[in-house]
Parts: sequence; C-alpha cells; structure tokens
Amino acid sequence: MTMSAGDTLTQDHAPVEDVGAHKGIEGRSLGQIAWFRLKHDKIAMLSMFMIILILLLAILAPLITKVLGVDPTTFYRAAVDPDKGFLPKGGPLGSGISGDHLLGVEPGTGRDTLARLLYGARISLLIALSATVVSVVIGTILGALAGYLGGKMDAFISRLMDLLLAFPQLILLIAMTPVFVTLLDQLGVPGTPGRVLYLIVFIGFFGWPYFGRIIRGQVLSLREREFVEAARSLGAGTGHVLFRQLLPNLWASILVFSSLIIPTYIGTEAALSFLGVGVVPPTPTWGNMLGDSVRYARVDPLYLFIPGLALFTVVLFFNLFGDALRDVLDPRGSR
Amino acid sequence: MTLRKNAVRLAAGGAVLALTATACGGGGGSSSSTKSSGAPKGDKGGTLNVLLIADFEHLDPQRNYVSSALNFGSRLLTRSLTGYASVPGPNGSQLVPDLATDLGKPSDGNKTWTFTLKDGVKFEDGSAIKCADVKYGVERSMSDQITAGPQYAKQYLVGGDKYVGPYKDGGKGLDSIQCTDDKTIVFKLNKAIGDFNYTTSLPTFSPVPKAKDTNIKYDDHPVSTGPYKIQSYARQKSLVLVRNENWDPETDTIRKAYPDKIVATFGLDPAVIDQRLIADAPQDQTAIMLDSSIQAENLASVLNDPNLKKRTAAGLDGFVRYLAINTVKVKDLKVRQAIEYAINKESYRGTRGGADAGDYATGTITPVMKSHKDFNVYDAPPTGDPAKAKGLLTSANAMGFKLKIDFANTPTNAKSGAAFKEALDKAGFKTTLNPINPDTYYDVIGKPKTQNELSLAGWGPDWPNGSSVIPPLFDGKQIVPEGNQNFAQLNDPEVQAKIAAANNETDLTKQAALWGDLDELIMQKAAVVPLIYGKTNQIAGSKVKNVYLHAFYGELDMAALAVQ
Repeated sequence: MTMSAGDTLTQDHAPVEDVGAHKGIEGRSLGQIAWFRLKHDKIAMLSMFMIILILLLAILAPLITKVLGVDPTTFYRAAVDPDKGFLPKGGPLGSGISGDHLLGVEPGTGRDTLARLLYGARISLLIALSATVVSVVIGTILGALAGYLGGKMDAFISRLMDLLLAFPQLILLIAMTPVFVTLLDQLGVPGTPGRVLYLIVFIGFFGWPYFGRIIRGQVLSLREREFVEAARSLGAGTGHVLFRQLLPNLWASILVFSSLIIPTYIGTEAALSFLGVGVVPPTPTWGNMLGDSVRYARVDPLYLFIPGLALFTVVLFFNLFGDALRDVLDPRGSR
Repeated sequence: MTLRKNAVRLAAGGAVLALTATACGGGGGSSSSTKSSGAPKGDKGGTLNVLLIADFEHLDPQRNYVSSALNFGSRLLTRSLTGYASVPGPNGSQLVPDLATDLGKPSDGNKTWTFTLKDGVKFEDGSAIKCADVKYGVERSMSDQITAGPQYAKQYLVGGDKYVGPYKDGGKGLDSIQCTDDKTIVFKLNKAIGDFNYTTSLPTFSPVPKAKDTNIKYDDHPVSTGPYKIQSYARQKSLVLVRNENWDPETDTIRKAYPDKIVATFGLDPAVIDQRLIADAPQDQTAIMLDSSIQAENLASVLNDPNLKKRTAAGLDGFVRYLAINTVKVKDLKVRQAIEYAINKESYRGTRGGADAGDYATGTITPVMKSHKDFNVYDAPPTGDPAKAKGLLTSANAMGFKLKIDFANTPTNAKSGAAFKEALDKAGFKTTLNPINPDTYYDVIGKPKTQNELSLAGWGPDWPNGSSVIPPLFDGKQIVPEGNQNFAQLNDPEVQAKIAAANNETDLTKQAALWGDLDELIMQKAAVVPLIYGKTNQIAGSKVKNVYLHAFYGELDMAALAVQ
C-alpha cells in the first residue's frame, strides 16, 4: 500500500522510509507495515500499554483486592465517622484515604473505593467490549450483504439502519429496562447477569447501523474491483466472495471502528448506570459510583474525582489508540 | 383510606426523605430535639419572608394535601372544624377545636357526628360562616373537578361514594351532611368512626362560600377564614398575605398571627435558600425555609456553629421508615423474627447520614403522636443480633432462606439495600436486591401478587393518630390487587378485631392507648422492621422568633412564627 496525500500525520513518513532505506527492499505484508508504523508512534504505544494495563487490572481485580485485603461489598465501619454523618474518617479532602484504603472509602457505608473501582471496571469493560463485538458482527454481516447484493436487499437493510439510527436509544433503553429485566428474570437469568446481558445486547444492537453503513460503503467500492470480478468469473459463490475476498480487505476498518466505539460504549454504560438502569446493587460500576458521588462533591470531592478520572483515562486512551490505528491502517481516512 | 392520594403523600414523603437524606450527609453531632419552652410568645408586626423551592401544589382547601401547603394553608388561610395546637414539642399533635366549639359529639354508636360552629367566625368579606358553607365545602371535595385532595369525605359519609359533587348534582346536595341550624352541622357516617374529629382537621372540612366558588380557579384565591388573606398571588413566583381584618382572635386558640405581612417566594434552589439564611443579610433576617431542609454540605458547619445552631430547629418529620415483611411469602414467624434481629439499623441509618437522619424506630407510630407506646419487642442493639437471628433461622430449619428486597432505585437506597443485604446474609439468609424505578415504585409494590419478600417503605400519617397508621398499613380488609398499601400483606383476625375496637372508641386517650397496643402486637407478629423515625433540620433568619418544628407538620410552625 502506498502513502497517499490524504495522510496528514507526517511523523509517520520518516520511520517507514528510514527503515526502508536501511534494510533494502523487502516484501512486507500489510500487517507488518502497520505494526511497524504503530511501533514508532509514541502515543499509540502509550495508549496500547495503558489499555493493556487497565484490562489487566480489571481481570486481576479479585487478586489485587485480596492482596490489599479489601473487598468491594464489605462495610468498613471503622473508616467512617458516625459522629459526622458517616463521612469518611480523615484523609486528604475528607476522602478517607489511608494505608488500608488507598483511594479512600464510600461515604455512608465505608466500602473501599479502590476495590469498587476495580470491580466496577470489570463490569464496565465487559459490557463495552461485548457490546462492541455484537455491533461489529451484526454490522459487518448486514453491511457487507447490503453492499454486495445491492437491489432490494440493500434497500431493506439500509432503511432498517436508518430506522435504528433515528431511534432515541437512551430513552428507549430506559423505558424497556423493566420489561426486559422481568422477561430475563422469568427465563432464569436474574439480577446482575441478566442486566449485564441485557445491556450488552441492547447497546450492541443499537450501535451496529453506524458500523453497517461504513462496511456497506467499503463493499460498494470493493465489489467493482478486479479481484472480485476475477473470483466471480471463476464461479465463486456469494459466501466465498464475502468471506474470502471482501472480509480480509475490511479488517482495517473493523479494527479502527471497534477501537473507536469501545470508549463510546463505556460512556453509554456509565450513563445508564448513572441513571439507575444499570446493574443491580451492590455490584459496583463506574456509572453508579459517579451517580452517588455527585451529592458529596463538596464534602468529599475526591470520591467524585476518582471514578471520573478512571472513566476519563479509559475513554481517552481507547480514543487515542483508535485514532492511531486508523492512521496506520487506513491512511486515506480523513480526520 | 384513599389509596391513590395516600400514595401521593407517600411519594411526597420520598421526596422529603431525599431532601433530609442529603441534608444529613454532612452530619454534626446528634442534635437535640425541639426546644420545649412553653407557649410561644412574640411581638405583633413586621414582615415574615418564606423562601420556597416550589409553589404550593394547592391552597384551595379541598385540594390541599401536601405537607408544606397543608402547614401554610391550614395555619394561615383556611380554618377547619378541628386543628392542632401551636406549641413546641409533642403537644403540637394535640387535637383542638378550631371553627367548632368543641371536638364534636358522636352519637348513634359513632355513626353520627355533630359539630357546632363558634360565634363570630367570618369569611374575609365579613360575612358570617354558616353551616351551609361547611356543607358546601365538603360537597365540593367530592367533585371530580376538585382533584388531588384527600377523599375521606367520599369514603366515610353515607352516599359519598355515589355523590357527584355540587356542580353536577342539580342543587340537591348530599343528605348525609345536615344543617339543623346555621351553627350546627351533622355528619352521617357509613361506619362507626370513634375519631372522626381527627379527619375533620383536614382542610377538606373548611367552609367555602358557594357564591365565591370559582371551581378550579378557587386555588388562586381561596376565601380566607384565617388571620391572613391573599393580597397577590403570582403563581410560581410569589404570594403576599396581609391581615384579614374580619378574623377575630377571640375565636381562634391556635393561630398567633404575629407578623403583619407574609411574603412567600417560590422557585429558589435549596442550596440558595441555605446560603441566604446562613449569611443572614438584613433582608433575610426575617426569612425562613419551609419546603426544604438544611442541605448535606451545610449541616455540619451549621450545627457546629453555636450562633447558627441557635437559629435551627431539629426534630422528627413525622415519617416512619420501615422494611415491610411480606407475610404471605414469609409465612414462618421464626423466619420473620430472624429478619427483625438480623437487620442492622445503624448501618442503614449510616447510609442516610447517621444520627441526623432519624432516631431508631421500634414501631410504626412515631413518638410525636399520642398513640405512640414505648416498647421494644426485639431487644437487639442497633447493629442487630446476627447470632440470635441465625439461631431462629436454624430452629425454623430455614438456613439460606431466599429474600428479595424491593426498593426505589436511588443512589442512597442502593446503599441502604447493600446494608440490608450484608446484615441478612451474615445471619444466614440469601438476599438479592430488586431496585425499582422511583417514579413507579409504589405502583409496583402495590401489587400484592408480585411484591417480593421485603419492601422498603415510608409512611407519614394524614392526622396524628394511630387510626391514620395502623388501619391503612395493617388492616387485612384493605389489601387490594393494585395500589395496595398493606405492604406486609398482614391479614390477621386478631389484629382486625382490635382495629375495629380501636376505631369505635370515642375517648381519644383510650383510643390512643389501643393503637399503641396494636403497634406492639403487630411487632410481635413481625410484620415490619421499623428502621427510623425521620428527622429534619430547618433554619430561620436571626430576627425570627418561635422557631420550632411542629410535631404534626414536621416543619416550622406557620401559626406561631414571629419577627422582631
């Protein structure tokens, strides 16, 4: 793949040409080129490192909290002051930060903020990542079908996407929650697992049209290319063309889109938990931590700041990484 | 009892709780209860400013049903047949005659109640208040156009359920309200009610002159019978009251009417109300808060400052917060008793801000009522007694008993729910939480079929007697498929027989004792876990006198406030 005028990140040029001159001409795959360029993008590497770190922290939450001797649901009564309205005892800015509670405790209960933050990350990331998978799978299949088959199929899928894009998702989600939660209850998936499943399916389902449109556009241009015509003229079926010929050319878009949509979904999950349609207490998520902390903004500002910072960090690094990935994989994409 | 309207009051209570719960986040030391310095005294004159979050829902007496509006309307503008004394402390919930000469005379086995109007009581236009005006007022409360008010008249009076109100009855009126002469009014009830005179304290029983009735527009200018009349009323903005020259203090033992003028300002942020009253700038020195309480971030600093604390009033808000045990789903008394011992009230109260949120409750009748009885059926510390709970659960062969707790999904309730779960699981239960959308909470748990084992609820009575607590919450006959309020779903013949007996007792002192005994009996049957008697803190400007919380209204007493 050649560099095009559309690429605006000039610092990317240097390493590629540099190395090329040094090592001489060598056949390199698209993946190798991309990885090479990614490696030399400092922001990309930093955000990748941070994302891996956050994922590790979330996955290892039970282990970390065990080592620290804290638990997300235990009420640490010694850490709150019954004479001062059960606000955290001591610590900077009334946060209750101490050797036992590295990020302080929750006002009113004394539950450990760090433990709740780590366990909250598990739920937030699980929902965001899974919903992304749902969006990407549905979006790729339907988008590719619409683009490749054209005609009535295209019209039907495109109108469906328009319809879903026009839906006020958040309001619908809030309105539908009681209905679906009861349904899941009856199907034997009660409480938090049921709500998590529901959020994944719902967020994922309403997100796919954004992606479906991009894929459809890509396929529309790809299907006129020579290699597709060659495959068809050799008698390849729709399935073969879609998955063997087109899909490999779509990977770049899929990766870029996924990394950009994950932070959006993290935000959506937080917003929903903030509004009280999220998981069932006492399961923590960043959204419900933020929802509770707003009232304590004056007396315990760090309690608001900590989950806010966590959300900010994750969203920022996923976005930065997504941007970098787009520059690397899809140099023609405009900013 | 009117299910829907009480639910409204319940919901309003929820809002009050939200305010007080926030108010308590900052928490000072446990504050002393209402100062009890005898009858309030003050100087006449001056202007009292009332700073409010929102306009009153209704001042039309037949539509007035929400705390602050009740306090403001009943204490300043619209008198009823009976009312409540304006004194600090628990005596404030003492029933006293208002427009009537006495507390009414029951006859015919408590099915007929006769009241006599005082001499010299007048409307703001100088015309004398006659029996026909009271009759007309009660009749209009039954019209479907006069909404949002209590519906007791419709339920209690003979033929009330079928009566369509004075606008559509073709001038016939309701026969069960009789005027034997201009001064004497007789109510015929469809059942024996020994304390009907508590019901007549509601503004439903305020007189309305038929000629001045403007239907729903009456809300903007109810014709005053009290010490003040409306001078101007800009909805959502401000309300100005001036003296009603036709009110004779000789006829009124309740209202002190010290200020010459009362100005209410609506649409203020509760934080702004706090700041203005704390700052005590000259124009706010004669101001009070009414529909808000001191906010979380300010409470600690206010209560720790002796100069500010002097200007505050702390006390019970009249609400009881409790966890109803669904006796249909939790049939075994031992399991219910185990729940009583397991619940950690200290940690529940902590999630609402500690001691400033309320006092630990042992029954459902709050201590500000005469019917309150001091007892503690489950003698456990506030932190609960998990060992005893475990023992009961084991002896009932019910270790791992599954409980699901219904609560309105607010951040504070989510923490309270977690506190219940922690305590119950420790005692050997298996608890899950069921957060429900706050807007529909009481509708959802009001369906007995789908209600879960435990439901978090609050109750503020319509009048300060056990008859407004025990029957609506525990009478098995009042369990309905939708809009149910008997959240314990208690359907117990012994309780029902005693409710009937208490309802039929005319001697209010004796009746109060009967309600107290019933409260204790219901606790022995472990139908609810009483959590706290809610508390509230209000503050007034430095030139306001007689600053105390009224035992029934749970707010500063509008009838007694004075300015220097």
